[in-house]
Amino acid sequence: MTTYLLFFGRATRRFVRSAETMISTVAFPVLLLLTMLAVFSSSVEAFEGGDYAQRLVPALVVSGIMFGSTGTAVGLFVDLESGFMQRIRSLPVPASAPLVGTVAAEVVRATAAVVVLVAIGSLAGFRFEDPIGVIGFFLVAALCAVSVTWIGLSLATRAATQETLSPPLGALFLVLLFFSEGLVPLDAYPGWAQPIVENNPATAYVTSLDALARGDALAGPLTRAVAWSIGLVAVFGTLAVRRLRPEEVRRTESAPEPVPVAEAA
Amino acid sequence: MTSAFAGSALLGQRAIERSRRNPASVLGAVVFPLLFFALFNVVLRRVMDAQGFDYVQLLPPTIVVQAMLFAGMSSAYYVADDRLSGITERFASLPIGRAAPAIGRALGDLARAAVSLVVVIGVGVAAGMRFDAGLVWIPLFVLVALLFSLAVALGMGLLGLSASSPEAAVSLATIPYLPLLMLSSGFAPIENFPDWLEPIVRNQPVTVTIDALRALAGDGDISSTVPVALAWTVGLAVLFAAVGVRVIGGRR
Repeated sequence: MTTYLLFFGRATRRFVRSAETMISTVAFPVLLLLTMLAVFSSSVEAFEGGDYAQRLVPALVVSGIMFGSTGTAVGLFVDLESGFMQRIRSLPVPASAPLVGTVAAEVVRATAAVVVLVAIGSLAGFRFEDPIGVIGFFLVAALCAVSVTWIGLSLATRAATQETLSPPLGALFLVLLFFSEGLVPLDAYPGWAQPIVENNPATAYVTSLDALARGDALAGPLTRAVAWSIGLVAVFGTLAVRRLRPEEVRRTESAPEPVPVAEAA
Repeated sequence: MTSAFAGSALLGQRAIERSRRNPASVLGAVVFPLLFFALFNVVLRRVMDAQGFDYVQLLPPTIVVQAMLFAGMSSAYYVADDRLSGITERFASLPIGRAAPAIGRALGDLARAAVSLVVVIGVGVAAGMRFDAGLVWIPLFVLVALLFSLAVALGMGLLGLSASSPEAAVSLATIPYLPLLMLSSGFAPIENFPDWLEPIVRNQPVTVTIDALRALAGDGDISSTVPVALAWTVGLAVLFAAVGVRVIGGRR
């Protein structure tokens, strides 16, 4: 247990001390919220009525979690490249401890993003119909963070270079978010896209957060969010942890690096 | 003189080759613009059409400008990488002319932008965009887009000259990108913006370039938009180039 806490502490300090991560966690979602409101609120409010901030805040919470986890995935990749993970493997530490500690730290980051977005969103018209929803809002954000982060971590254990890690991950999250009911209502999507939008993990988290803020029926979206979380952790968690077993780490790290001919010349 | 010309051409070839072999450049130049085009078109088309903003016709010029921004942003990475790896110094010792590395860099940036431009226009036309002003305006459309990309690449190259690492250069490069692109006429009608913001949105270089491209494709007045766009892009390109020459000259 102490080992898990240690890795949690390391991961937390790592992003608190990285200016870049703090910008992407706190400043970027706010910038995005303000620009999206300025650009799209008239159009979307004309289309569906109601304050656009109400729709946008849950989407940006999920967006902040997803894009923040890209940085965490890069951090794991750096740990693998630098030999840090190999060093950890020589210690009596469970194979899952570094990753579980990292994922737990994502909850801290998600919570910070929620606080900032809700605070700024409130100025633009975002409201909790029922104050008790606030607690659920934080819990669903935490659930989203602990589930989604595994996608990036499992890719990080398999990526050959940083360039083949962050852009594909970013593209995946972009597609999930755009097809998530987070930016426009479901009936704004063309017919062929609607089933995709309805069965998308980002939609499950966004609609759960949305229901908590508006005080709408929660059972349906929350069931889907929990189901997605179980699925994501089961699949990507297993893939990531399995890859970090001692024999696997040795194989990925000690293979001699081929010298690229063009750069050597 | 011949050797200066040959040196520029050779370094241009090198720049193109490096972009071609870098998956991040290929993603940035080809995949990401198409992804954004598809996503915005799917998500916002009904909302915007309901407002009388014809998305299939008006979005492709925006995506062209976005692609030109992406293409130019890579320049920050390559300039920083060349400087920190020491190859910039090595080039300075060769009899290829002092300007050859910069000209080669610009040729590489333009080639990347041109590939990106062809892909975006192709997909835009396939999706239903039309050049209603007449096909004769297409060369000018291409020229406005490429000049814009060149100006961006020169500006981003300045970031590359001062950044501590290629990755830091890329992070810096993304900071101006988002507000310039989002706070433009690109994705929604300009009347949507709050009143105090509208004059800024209307006159910033990204909006001006998008408006010129739209006019050349048949939406808007060519004579009042294209000269403004050309003045902005050429002005910025000259300014950034002049600062770059001073920075490099000061280091010698």
